[in-house]
Amino acid sequence: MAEALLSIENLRVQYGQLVAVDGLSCELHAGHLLGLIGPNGAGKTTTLRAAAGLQPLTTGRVWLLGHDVFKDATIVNQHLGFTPDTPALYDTLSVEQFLWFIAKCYGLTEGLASERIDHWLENLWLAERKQSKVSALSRGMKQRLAVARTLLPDPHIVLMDEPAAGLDPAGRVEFRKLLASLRDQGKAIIVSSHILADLAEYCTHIAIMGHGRLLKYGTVAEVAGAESQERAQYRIVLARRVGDLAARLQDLQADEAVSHLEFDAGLITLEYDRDRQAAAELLRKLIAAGLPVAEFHTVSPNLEQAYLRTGIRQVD
Amino acid sequence: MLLNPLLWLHLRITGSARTNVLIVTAYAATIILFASISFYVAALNVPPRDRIAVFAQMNGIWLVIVTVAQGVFLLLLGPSAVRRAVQRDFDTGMLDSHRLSPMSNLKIVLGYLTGAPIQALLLYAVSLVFGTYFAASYAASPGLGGALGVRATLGGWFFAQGCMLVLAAMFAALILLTALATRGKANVVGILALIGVFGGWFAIVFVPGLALVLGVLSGGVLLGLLTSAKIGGDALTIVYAGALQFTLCLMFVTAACGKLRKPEHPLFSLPLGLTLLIVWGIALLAGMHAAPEYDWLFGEWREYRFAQLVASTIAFMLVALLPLAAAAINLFHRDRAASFGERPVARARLLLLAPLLAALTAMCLDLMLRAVGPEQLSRAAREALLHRSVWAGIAAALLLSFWTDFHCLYSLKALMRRPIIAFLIVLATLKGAPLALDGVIKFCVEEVAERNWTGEGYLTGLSPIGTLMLTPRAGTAVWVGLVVQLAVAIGATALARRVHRRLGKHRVTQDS
Repeated sequence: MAEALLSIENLRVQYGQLVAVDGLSCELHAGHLLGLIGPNGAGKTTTLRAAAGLQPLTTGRVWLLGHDVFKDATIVNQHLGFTPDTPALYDTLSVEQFLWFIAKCYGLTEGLASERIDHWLENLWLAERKQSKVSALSRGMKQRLAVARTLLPDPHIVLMDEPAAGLDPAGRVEFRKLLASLRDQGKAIIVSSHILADLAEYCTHIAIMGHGRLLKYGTVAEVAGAESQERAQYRIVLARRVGDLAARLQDLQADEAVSHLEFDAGLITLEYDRDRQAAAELLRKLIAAGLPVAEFHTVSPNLEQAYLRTGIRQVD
Repeated sequence: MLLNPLLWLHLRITGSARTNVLIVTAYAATIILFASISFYVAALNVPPRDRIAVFAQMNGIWLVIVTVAQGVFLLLLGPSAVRRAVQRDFDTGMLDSHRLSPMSNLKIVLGYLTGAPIQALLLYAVSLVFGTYFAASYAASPGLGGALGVRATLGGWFFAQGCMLVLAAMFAALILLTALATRGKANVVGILALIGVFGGWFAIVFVPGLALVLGVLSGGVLLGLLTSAKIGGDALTIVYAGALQFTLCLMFVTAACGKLRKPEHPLFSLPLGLTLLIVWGIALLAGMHAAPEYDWLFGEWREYRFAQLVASTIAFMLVALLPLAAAAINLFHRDRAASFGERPVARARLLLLAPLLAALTAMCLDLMLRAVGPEQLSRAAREALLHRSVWAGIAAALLLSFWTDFHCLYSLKALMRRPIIAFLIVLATLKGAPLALDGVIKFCVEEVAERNWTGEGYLTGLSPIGTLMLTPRAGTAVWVGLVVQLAVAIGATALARRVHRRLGKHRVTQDS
């Protein structure tokens, strides 16, 4: 496999006694788009800031294109883009002046800078506002300008902290397309977000964080799927309410092959072996228990369920 | 420099070109208006033949006014603008944006130093034009002003401008460094201005090296050269002061470059802190050497040479805390990393720093003593300093002081994220409080109760500064004090060891 664009090794960040990130390791290759999810305080922002070289580490290393992000900042930063959760902008400049300033910081030639500024203003729907003061922009426009700032130098590695926050529904759709296009261009991207449905659509990989630790990490299918590819979640709808449902399910509860069993009067969900024979056996057991089964099917892998299955219950 | 993006930025965010032109024009118009009025009023009721002398005087007065204004722009408004720019960029997150850019640290630092104070620099430039006019007019006036001639006066004026710019650069770099360390929240310019107004004079007369670094001595020499006023001093002082200021400026810029992308690091790295200490030691030494020659500044204080020696040594010890803090904080970071499995640090080498700093301080004191000449001291102090036991006591106090400070800093860093305030409290308690308490008790017993106080010095001796101050009357108080200082040092070491052990225990808890 090709060399990783971004490599995080045993990352640990501690603020006094508080451990914000605890032993996190991952690698990102060209074309990988990693969605970082977790409740507030899980360590997502700290991880992104550490990967960008902004957050001092207690232990661990971050390598970008083979360079230590802390030791070779001026080399690494040519290839790194970072969008913080709150857009960092100069309010008194116009949109165009701000992007020109960024272009100068990255040493872009006048022609190239002009071309890229026009490109990103157009692609992020800011062309008509290029003479407006930044202070006059809405929250969503500021967010789009911050994204333009990140992408203007054409970085190989892009880190975005809650980039879709503040965007309207149409903006979110366009933003999803933009991320997918960046991914297809071969950039390595990490995006933190609470909008799990969006992440499932454009991410190649998902990392679920909780209490500073990486709880799950893998491709979307791996994370969203069952604990393993051999297991599936089943959904059983009953034809009518069953009063003594708990008693009738006692045998199933005792069955070692059944896990994550949940039920109310008319609905049962559980995890069982995925293959067809196992499904037939499960159905037979349900009928043997005297249950009036009206619907019986497996549920498609779902990020939200995978997230909830980690045990994280904090509502943000 | 003109290509620096931050200079470009500040030219735009401090206002449009029209705003800047307006400010400059308004300032120039104000000077012209008030200068014209003052010249007109001064010439009233003066016979025409005497007016040239009056105008010469007025040119001299306006030269001083414009120079003071330049000082305000360069030393007050400019550095304040630098601090505010850093604070704004911290608050908006733009400092992170600069850190994420491929701009070098030096480029960013120079961008702040030249860009943020752009309006103050413009006003300074306008003042320079007027100042040059007033200096030339003053020098061209026959009699009063023409002592040096126009060319020499203007040469001196521009040389003075160079000195002022170097001083301003040093000051701005220091403010930038402190702003980066405090997220721009600590108004160091204001604090220094307050100290300057309320206690600056005492700081300067008791620490002659400070007078050299802050340009007080060179300013006096320049004034003497330009106006033929009878101000003593060597013209070379200006060169020495300028060289010191320039060196310090470079060191502050280097430290600011380091702090920019490594905010968790101490203000000065260990090597830079030690270099700063040596430069500062040279400044203190040069100041003590110059003190007897500058009667216009230190004449009234010649009876206090020993106090100047002690104050300069304390000033050296204060700056020595910078490399000490760097070593203690680095050791803590590396110990903590080692407790999570990273390569452990060689502790012994860092623990040698306290003896090294004590040796450097004692050496600085000895050299200052030689520079000022023992005959300048009181008989008691002179004779006391001939005894080896007195030097042994001083060396022991210095060693214990640095040892205690090192371990206190280590422990405090482990206990809190920003230990600076707590450390200053510890410092005040261990070093200052015994002296203050001794003074208060003496005052109460002798002045209020009107009885003879026989225990004077015992509390003072508990502080290493007290050990220095008690030199002329070395006795039991010094040795009792040293025993207590040793006990405090052992306590600080024990605390640091406990903190270190807890770092290891924390790892086990995490792993399990």
